[in-house]
Parts: sequence; C-alpha cells; structure tokens
Amino acid sequence: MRILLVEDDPIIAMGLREGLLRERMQVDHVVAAEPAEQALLLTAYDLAIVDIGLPAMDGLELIRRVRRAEVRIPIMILTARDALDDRIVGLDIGADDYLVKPFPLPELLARIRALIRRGCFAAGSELTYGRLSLNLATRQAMFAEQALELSGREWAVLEHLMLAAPRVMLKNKLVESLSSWDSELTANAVEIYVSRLRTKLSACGMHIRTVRGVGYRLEESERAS
Amino acid sequence: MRTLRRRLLLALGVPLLALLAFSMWLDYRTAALLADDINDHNLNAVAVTLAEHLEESGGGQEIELEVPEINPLTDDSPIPDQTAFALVATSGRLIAGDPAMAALADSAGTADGRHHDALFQGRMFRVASYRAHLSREEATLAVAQTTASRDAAIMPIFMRSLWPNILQLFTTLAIIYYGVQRSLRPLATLGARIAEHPVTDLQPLSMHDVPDEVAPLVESINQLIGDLRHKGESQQALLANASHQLRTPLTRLQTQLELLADTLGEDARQRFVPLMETSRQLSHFTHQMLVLTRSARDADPFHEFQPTDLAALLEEAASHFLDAALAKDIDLGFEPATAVVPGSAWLLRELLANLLDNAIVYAPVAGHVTARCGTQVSGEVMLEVEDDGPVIAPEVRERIFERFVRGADTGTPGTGLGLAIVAEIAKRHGAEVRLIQNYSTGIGKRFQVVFPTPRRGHRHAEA
Repeated sequence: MRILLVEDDPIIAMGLREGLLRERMQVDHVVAAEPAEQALLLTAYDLAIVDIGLPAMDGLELIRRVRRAEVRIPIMILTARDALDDRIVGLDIGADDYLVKPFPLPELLARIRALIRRGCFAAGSELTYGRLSLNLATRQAMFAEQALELSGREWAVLEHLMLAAPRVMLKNKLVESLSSWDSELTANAVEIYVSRLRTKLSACGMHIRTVRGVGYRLEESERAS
Repeated sequence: MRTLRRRLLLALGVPLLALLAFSMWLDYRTAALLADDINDHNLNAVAVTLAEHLEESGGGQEIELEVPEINPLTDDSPIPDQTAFALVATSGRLIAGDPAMAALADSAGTADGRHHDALFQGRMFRVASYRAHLSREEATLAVAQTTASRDAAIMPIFMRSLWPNILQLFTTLAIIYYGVQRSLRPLATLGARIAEHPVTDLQPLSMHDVPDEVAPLVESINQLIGDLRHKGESQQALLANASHQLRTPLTRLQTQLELLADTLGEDARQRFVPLMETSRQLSHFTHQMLVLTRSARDADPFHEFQPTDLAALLEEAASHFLDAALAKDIDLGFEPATAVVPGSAWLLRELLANLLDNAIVYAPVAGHVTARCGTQVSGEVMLEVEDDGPVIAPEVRERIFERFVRGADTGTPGTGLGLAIVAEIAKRHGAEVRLIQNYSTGIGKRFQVVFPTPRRGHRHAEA
C-alpha cells in the first residue's frame, strides 16, 4: 500500500508517517498542495491523507483539482478547524472521509484500512478484513488458508458488513440492498442470514455484533467480548 | 395604533373640516349681505319714488301716499311682508305716515340713503332713510319693510354656494386619502421586506425603491447588520485561529504519545496510561470549549438551518459510540423513528454526542443506554437518551445545565461542559431540554430534547 501524506506540520507528519510505516504502508510525505498535486497526477497511490490547512493552496482546492483530473483514489481529510463547512465541502468535492484533529491514531489507521478496502472493492479485485478475504473475481471466500462455503445471500451480507467495517452496517440499508439485489426481503429473513453467517464465521474467529435497533458490526474476535 | 397613515389623515382632515365650517359661515354671511343689498336696493327705489311724490306735492298737510308694491325677493316667504313709512320734519314733527315709525325715521335722519335693521312693534324691520327736500322744510323719509322675505331669500343663496363647497371638500379629502395611501405604500413594502429578512444571513437590505425620507433608517439598519456581520466574522476568524492553534499541538502530543506507548515495556506502560488519558481529556475538553463557543449565536450567526434527519444522526452515532459503550460492557441501543427538524446538523450531532457521552459515563458497568428520536402525535419532534444510572439529586438538578457544574459523583470523568453544550444548542434550535427521572427506584433517567412544533409562516426555528 502506498500512501501520500500531505501535512505541513513537521511533528504531526513525523508521527503519522511512523504510525503508517508500522502498518507496513509506504508513505510519501509532502508539505504543500502544489507538489502533492504533481505527485498524485504522476504516481498511482492507494490513498491520500490531506490536511486542509496548508500554506498556499489549501487542501480543499487540491482535492477539487485532482478529482477534476480524474484521480479516483480514496482521500482522507484531516482538519484542525472545527467549522462544519470544511467537512461538508470536503465530502462534497470528493473526499471519502474526514477526521478532526486531534484524533486517536488507531482510529485514523482503522479508517484508512476501511477506505483502502472500499477502494479495492471498487476496483473489483479483493475485499479483505482481518484474515477474512473475498475474492470478487472467483467469488471465493477465504479465511486464512481455508475456503468458506457461503450461499449467495450470505456472501452479499458478508460483503456489506466487510465494506462497512469498522462502522455499523444499518439493518434497514442491508434489507434495502439485498432486496434490490433479488426479490423483496423481510427484516426477519435478513436476521436469519446474519445468524447463519454468524455461525460460520465464529469458527474463523470473526464475530457479528448486533447493535440494538440499528444494525450489525463485523468484528475480529479479539475485540469481541 | 398610531400609524403614520392615521397621523397624516388626521393632520390633513381636521383642519380641512374646520376650513369647511369657516367657509360655510362665510358663505352664509355673503348670502345674507347679498340678500340685504338687493332688498335695500328695492327699498331705496320705493323711498326715492315716495320722496319724488312728496317733493312734487310740496309737502302739504294732507298728503295721501300709497306705498308702492315692493317685489318680494322670494316667493318662498312664509308670511307676506308689511311695509310702512313715515315722513318726519327736521323739527321732529310727523308730516305723514305711521306715527309709530317717527322714532325710526328720526334716529336715521342724520344720514341720507342709510339702511339699518330695527325692531318695531315686535317685528324686525329693514329701514331705508332718505332726505326729502320739501318746499317749506327739510324732512326725513323712512321706509320700512319686514324682513321675512329677505330672510327667506338667504337660505337658497347660501345653499347654492354650499353644495360646490362640500363637493370640493370631499373630493379633496378623497384625494388626500388616496394620496396618503399611495405615498405610504413604499413604507409598507419596506416594512414587509424587513420583516421577511432572514435573521441568519445578515445580508444588507436592498436600497432599491426606498423613499428618500426613510433611506437614513434603512441605512442605519444596514449599518447595524454590517456591524453584526463584521463582529461575527471576526469572531469566526478568532475561533478558527484558536481552533487551529489548540488542535495542532494536541495532535502532535497525542500522536507521539500513542506511538511511544506501543514501544514501552509493561512497567513503563503502567505509568504511561494516565498520561495518555490526560492528553485525551485535554483534547476532549478543548473540543467541547470550541463547540460551546461556536454554538452561541453571537459567536456564530451564520449557521444555516436546514431540514435535519435526527434518525440519520442516531444511526451515525451508533458507529462512534459503540466502542466506548463496549469498554464498559454497556448495552447501547437505538430507536430511530421519523424525526426531521430545521437545524444545523453539525450542532445537533454535537448535542447528541454530549448526551450519549454523558449517559455512557453515568450508566453503571453492564448497564443500558438507549437513544431514541421520533415525532409525537402532536407533531412535536423529540430526541432522547436514556440510561440506567442513578438519578440526579434534586438539589443539583436545576444547575446541571450550567457550565462546569457536575453531579455529586465527581469520581467519574467529565468536563462539566457536556450538558451546557446540550442546553446551548437546544436553545439555538428553540428546543426544550427535559430531565425525566425515576425517583421511586432512584435508578434511570432520560434527557429529552423537544423541538418546537413547526408553525405556519414559521421562518426559522431559532426565531
């Protein structure tokens, strides 16, 4: 994974770089928007982390420009301003997620992993979460080295949970997207698929947590209680 | 109601009515004088004719005189006029005529061709005096006629000039009324425009079509709007700056601490945990201070109020608060139902976050926290967060929404700003925060935020 970090504060940049390196990600760091624009146009990064408050051209303008140039990689915004407008504008012009400083480093890393996962899914290659992976081409679900037998609906549920993780997958969204995928589906039916999937995954050290009244979250068992 | 229109109509109408009264009086006087003049002219003619007769006859002892018929001024006279005359010598001797009239002739005798009104035998007479030159002596001839036909003639003359006067006056009043209405229309339009002017956008009022007289007023309003806007903008700049200046070093600190923590041995790590916790608390407090400052209207007048889906905020919060709840083994649940209010999504997200923070902190380990939203039958939209922690003691209950006031249990982490933020944001949305507690068991409380029911013609929730 190759990541471009655009951050003008040297100490924050140093910390983020080290955090990302520990996750075995390659990091290129630039301190201004202008070289970042060049780098994004010339190099195939998997993700960009962009601080909004940059010296000359700001981060929002950078995102606007690279999106106009058809650069489709996931972009994560960091901001030290708490004004909502920045965040909304950021997401509107094509950023994929944002974090307000200061943030816990693990949260940034989890969000980045989720963005990269979604990036891979969008590219149609592979969807991975922890040691679980879905090969989108062969439609083969793998845990570690073992193949998992999943029905079509179970696959679809797992795909949605993996895409949402570490966020909660809303149950009504799940019902909605599974219904459009095939015929009408009830909430009860979705519960049954989730329950079957839960049984199959428990053997792999994965856990589907029910969040009362809202939906489900896929977790690695270390996190599960 | 002292409207400008009423003032103008009163100020113009009352003097005009007074003017009408005066003009009527004047008209009456003119009519009376005119009737007098014509009457006097007729009397004169009679007097002259009589005098000529007298002079021709030489003023002998037995003068037989017939008073000629006098043309009445009007046929409307209720009673026919009586005529009388007297010829009185300078010596005062009555030469001919009605002896009772001698006194009148005498008194009038000093002048020639004079007319005056006089009471005679209980009736009002008009008397014309004329100097007659008789062969033997000088004499005064007085011809008198009752005034019935003259008086009766005044009214028709008066009426003839009255009608045009009244017509003119009411036409003038109508023109004034219409003119006032029409001239005041720009004011009414301006008033409506000011009333419709949204409070939040702080745009100056347009000077287009503003009458010169009220232009200074509109200019001062614009000046005020400009000042407010300027103040808001500088506050914004200050806050943005402060936010950046506080958040950047905190990010440096927290990132480095977290990286360091991973490399430490178990012993050093034990000492390190409180340090990291302190850094997180500092970050949290900074965020809360900034939110509290920004949620106040005077610091940030620019929040755009848009239809905001509370259910979506609840669903979003599920991802953010799940781990904090799991850390205390709390069962965090949500009951989102249709609930849309005009508001600022950012502020409402902070409101919910503070309620959830609070509930998770005060709920017991392995307790329950539930966030709900919905629309009640009355149309009221509510958002509430329930926890099964202990109730808040009545003596602090009233003060929990104040800044830096905390419940009795100070052993729990918290800044004392959370509920102040909730109160401030609720106020900004015109919403009411209620605390519903289960006093019978002493366990369980709900913070309920009730939003105002949308009214017709309701422009802004914060209005």
